[in-house]
Amino acid sequence: MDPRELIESGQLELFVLGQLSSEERKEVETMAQKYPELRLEINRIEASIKAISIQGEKFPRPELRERIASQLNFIEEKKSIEKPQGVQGRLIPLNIYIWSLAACFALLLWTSISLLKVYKELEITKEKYLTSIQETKKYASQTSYLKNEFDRLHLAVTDTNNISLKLKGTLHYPNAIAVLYWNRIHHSVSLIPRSLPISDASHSYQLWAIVDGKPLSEGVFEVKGDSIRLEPMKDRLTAQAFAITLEPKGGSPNPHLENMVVMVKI
Amino acid sequence: MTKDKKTLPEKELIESLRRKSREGYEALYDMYSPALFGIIHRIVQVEKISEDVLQETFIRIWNSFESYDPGKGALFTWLLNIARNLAIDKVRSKAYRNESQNQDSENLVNKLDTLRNTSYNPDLMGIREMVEKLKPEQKTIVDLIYLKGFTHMEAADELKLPLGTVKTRLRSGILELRKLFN
Repeated sequence: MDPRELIESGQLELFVLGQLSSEERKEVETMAQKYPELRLEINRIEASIKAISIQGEKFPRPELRERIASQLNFIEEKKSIEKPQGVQGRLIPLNIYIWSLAACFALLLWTSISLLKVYKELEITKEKYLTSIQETKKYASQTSYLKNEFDRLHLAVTDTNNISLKLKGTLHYPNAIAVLYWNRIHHSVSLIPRSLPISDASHSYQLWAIVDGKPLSEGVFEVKGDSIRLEPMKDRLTAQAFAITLEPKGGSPNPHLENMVVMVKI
Repeated sequence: MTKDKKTLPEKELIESLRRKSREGYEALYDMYSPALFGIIHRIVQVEKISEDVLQETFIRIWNSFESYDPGKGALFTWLLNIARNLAIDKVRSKAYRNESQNQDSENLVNKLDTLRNTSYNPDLMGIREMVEKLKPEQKTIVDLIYLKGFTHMEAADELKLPLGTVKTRLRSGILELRKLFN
């Protein structure tokens, strides 16, 4: 059938009003798929029928809405009531999420700053600890040294075979004193330069033993402030006197007698 | 009734009806129950029976909605035809004949004038007034087929007219009504 002819026949109105047999319906549907103008005309008729029907609106009694609803099975119950709550429900977790995220960041920041502080403090503590260890080691070594010195001094003082000789200051060094321990059995000589002036960088002290009128070198030593110590010197079998002179650095073969600091005659 | 009236765009309405959601029912009812009730009432004419038919219409729509194919026609057309068919079935049932003793199928056309009920939507021009503006031969056909639920064959029988004439007059009548809206 020609589409124009079908439109003019009034068959499409009957189609829209559901008055065609299933065979006639199928024919119109097939034609409508083939000719877009038919589809368009059907749409127009549908719009007209709808508009006419709305002109004829009659309101049923309000209670019918619920009465009919009670006869239907809803799969999505109360959707209309839940919807606004749903919107709110989505907003609340979102807010919580944002706040949680912000809290996490704040916590992370705080933790980072705290960790940095702790790290810095740890570094300082570590440094202090290392310094303290070094100092402890230093003190330990000093203590050990001092103990050693003390033991030697104690031995020198308490050994009954030792002769203790006090070398007294000369005219130029009236306050200078040194103590010498000379062992009668081993002939060892050791010296405590108790209150000799500190020797400068270009001079050294030198101990001499006067044997048969001749000065013999007993050894060279420095005095650097820590005068309470025992200087081991050369062994001496016999001597008539001991003297200490100030000599050029490293000592001299013969003493400069004018630079004599202390001396003792036996 | 109108203060909490729900509406949905047609696409969303169809989707929510497929999901069988209460929201879908409420929107469908608020949007189309007055138009469908108008159609039903014009055919059935008895208030209480019209309410029953409206209920049957919504139950039918609800339970057979999966058979609606948007590709084949507008939603309203589908709804309208369910309402019309149920109303026509009701009018032809024995129960209806017993309930409405005054019913006289011979007198259907004349009875149309009594249908100018004040409960019809007063904001609208009114379908009767519009139909009154049609040419008499168009008016009769539209009355019978569209308003009274006659089939075109019954109308041809009633008016002693060839089927083709009934169809073309129906068409020209609807075209005329369409012009009245534009």
